[in-house]
Amino acid sequence: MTQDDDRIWLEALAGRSGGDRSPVAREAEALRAGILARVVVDDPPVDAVDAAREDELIERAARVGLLPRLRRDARGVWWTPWRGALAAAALGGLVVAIGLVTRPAVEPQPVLRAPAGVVRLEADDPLRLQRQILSELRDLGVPATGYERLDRRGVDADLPQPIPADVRSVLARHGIPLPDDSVLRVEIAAKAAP
Amino acid sequence: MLDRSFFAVLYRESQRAVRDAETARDLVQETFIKIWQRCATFHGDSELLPWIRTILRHAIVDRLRRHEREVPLERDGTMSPEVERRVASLAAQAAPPEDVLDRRQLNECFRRCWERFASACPTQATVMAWIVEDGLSNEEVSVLLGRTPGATREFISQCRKRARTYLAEWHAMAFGARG
Repeated sequence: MTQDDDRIWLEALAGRSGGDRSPVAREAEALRAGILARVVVDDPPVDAVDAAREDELIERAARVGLLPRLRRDARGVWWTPWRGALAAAALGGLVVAIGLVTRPAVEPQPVLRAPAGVVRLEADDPLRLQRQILSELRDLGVPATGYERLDRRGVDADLPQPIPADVRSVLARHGIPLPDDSVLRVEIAAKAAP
Repeated sequence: MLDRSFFAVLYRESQRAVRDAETARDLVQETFIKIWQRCATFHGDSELLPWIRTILRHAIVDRLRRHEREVPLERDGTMSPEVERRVASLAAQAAPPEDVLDRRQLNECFRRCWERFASACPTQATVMAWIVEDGLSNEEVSVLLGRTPGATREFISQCRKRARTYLAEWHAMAFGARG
């Protein structure tokens, strides 16, 4: 195994074999396909909202000094409702400070399949829709990458075959037709002003 | 809001890497705390989720390293030079897997072998999965691992050797039918 072989192997594993048909590249490509096929299988169900988990996070933040220590015994029972409100405000403030608030609602958008196999969507906020599709696909273990080209936002994804029901459901929710093969390509443009 | 927006996606990634629900949950919460502490360093010139994911991955790598018992490669069931030559020869003659075997059987074999690999070499398996999922380059892996590019090349080479060892059965099934 030479250093050059290792480099070729890494590039092919990352999906950049560039048509290299050497044994090393083919081996890495097969490995890549196996890893991609495996990813979607084992994901456990996770509750989006879990009060106990949020309490735990708040306690933890308090322990490292990010929130004031809240002592129920010293302040009495009346303090308890404020505790949640304060923490929620702090957590909300953090996201606002970062400047990005994720909104779960799916905005309706017209869809058009372009001749080259690229699904074209229109949205009021293409960036938001791009992030949402990326997040939902990745959440299901589908490797998806986002990009920006001219005035369009794009999503490329390698869909597992056969396409699992939950992935189909994400695509359907966004009005994206199933691709003919495992490669999903979506471009999102801003809706034209009325 | 941070928890509600990102817990699920980060937890799944964490769980896949550390393979333990409690540790995965702990790592995600550790990540949220770090995000909180570092939010001033996020300038908004990149997407939020990749930034958060990078912080989580650093935490995962640290955790895996702390709990990993390094097994020297030469005592790790590495393929003998003869097996090595055989695998290389089979790969050279290989047909696409779908042409030679039932894909489900092959996937099942891969899954079984990968489980063994991920149990024995969790850091290598996790980093390989990230390379596949996000197309990481040697430089990006180097940043993630906190190693020099040279040491990272050595790590990648080790990933390749160990994967070959643990996935030998799958490899023979995928590439060996014409051998």
